[in-house]
Amino acid sequence: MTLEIHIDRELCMGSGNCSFWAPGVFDLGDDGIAVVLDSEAEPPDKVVLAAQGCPTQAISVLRDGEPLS
Amino acid sequence: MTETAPPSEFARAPGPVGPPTVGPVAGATPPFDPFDPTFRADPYPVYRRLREQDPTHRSLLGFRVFTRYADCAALLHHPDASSDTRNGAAFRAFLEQAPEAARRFAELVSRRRSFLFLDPPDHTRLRGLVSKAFTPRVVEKLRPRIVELVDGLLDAALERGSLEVIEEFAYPIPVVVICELLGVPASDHEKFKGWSRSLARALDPDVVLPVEVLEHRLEAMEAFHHYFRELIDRRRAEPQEDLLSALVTAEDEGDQLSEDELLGTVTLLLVAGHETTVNLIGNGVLALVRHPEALAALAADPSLARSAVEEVLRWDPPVQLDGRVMLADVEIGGVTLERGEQPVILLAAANRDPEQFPDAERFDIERTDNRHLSFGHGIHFCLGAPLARLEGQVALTTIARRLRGLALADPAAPLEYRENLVLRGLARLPVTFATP
Repeated sequence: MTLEIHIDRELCMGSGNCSFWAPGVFDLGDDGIAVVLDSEAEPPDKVVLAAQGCPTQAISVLRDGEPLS
Repeated sequence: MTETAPPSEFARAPGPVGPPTVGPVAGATPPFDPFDPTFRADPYPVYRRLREQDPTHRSLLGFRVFTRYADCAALLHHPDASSDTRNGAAFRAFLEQAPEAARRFAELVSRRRSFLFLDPPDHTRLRGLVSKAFTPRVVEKLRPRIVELVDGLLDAALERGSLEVIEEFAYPIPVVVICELLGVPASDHEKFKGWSRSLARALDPDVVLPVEVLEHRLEAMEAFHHYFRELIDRRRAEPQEDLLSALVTAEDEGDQLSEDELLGTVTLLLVAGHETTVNLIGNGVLALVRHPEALAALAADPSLARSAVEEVLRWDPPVQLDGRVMLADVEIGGVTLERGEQPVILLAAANRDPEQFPDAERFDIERTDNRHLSFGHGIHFCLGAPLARLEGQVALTTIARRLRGLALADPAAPLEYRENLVLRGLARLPVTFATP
């Protein structure tokens, strides 16, 4: 049931939107690129919202191998 | 910050004898004049009419105006939608017969272009040099300083017993913060306030600007560059712990940043810091005093800060529209944009699209799925968003909590907006409140 979250480091431009919408799940590293801290820190709907709100669509979220966003 | 980017258009009201408007419901959409004070006081009914009746409106000069959320979002992250106006057919045609001041300005910003008006790879490289200074974690460290500033301004207001929100609250917060972050001496604030205003006014398309405005804009840009040249020399001789010194070091290290790019970048950051968040705070205070239940809710529960600021951004955005230049023929919203075309992206209209936001006209500070387009979308998403959000949150929650009975000083007086098409902000916002 756990979510699998992928960040495309080439697409990410460090808007920080993901860490705004789902702060426990995402953060920006020292290089300004998003990282996943803990995929279960927020409810799945918030994680999906964060992925959908990514300005460069750099985040994909999967559950049991099926894409959620 | 200062380009001819978003094509003009919105067209001066064509009037009954003007050329016919091309569009699905030509003639059904009444013409509108963005410089009409009625429009400026409340542009949203006009946006709504466009979105509902003519969502790919072809304005008089031929520019497409997009107002639906899906179309605007698609354009903002389309790989063939360039931010570099030099690619625009209308821009090039205008320059051929433009006033001297417009041509010299175009030459100047072409040489000292900021990443706001560049495409990859230059955009990626230049933005990357400053992006680390604006990440949420770095910005969060500024919170104590922002709280101190906000409290100081409200202490003074309580002591005086009066407050003009724009000059005495909304403006000083982002200006002091961006100056401290960049490393611009506080004593120089007054010097470039006027320059910044001139550049902000000139964010509007050149074709709608009188020649004096174009001349002031050129002078302001030259003054900024002259000012920063001297400051850069001082930082080079004696580096400080500020962003300007870090950029000077990057320039000195060689191939990352040229001097022209350094000037373009710091001017962008300073002007953006002066002219956008002021309107987030000003428009936010206005929205709250007009919705006393929201104001009371925010005063009682500061945890609403985040959703309240997002709602202000959605409902009455500081940046109303954006523009792009097509690098290829692209279909958007059922129409084909041709290579060289310069579509207008009406962010403020998209933000009230009921297809995206339930009950979209309603101001609701507890809205959850609030993916507004006010910071843009795609690779140009606002670099300063984390800082603007933090400043907005601290400013709005603190004023709601500390100034009890906050209300318009004269509810009957018409609101005075600054004369600007791209940016939406009040010239003045006098309020009253209970004094202890």
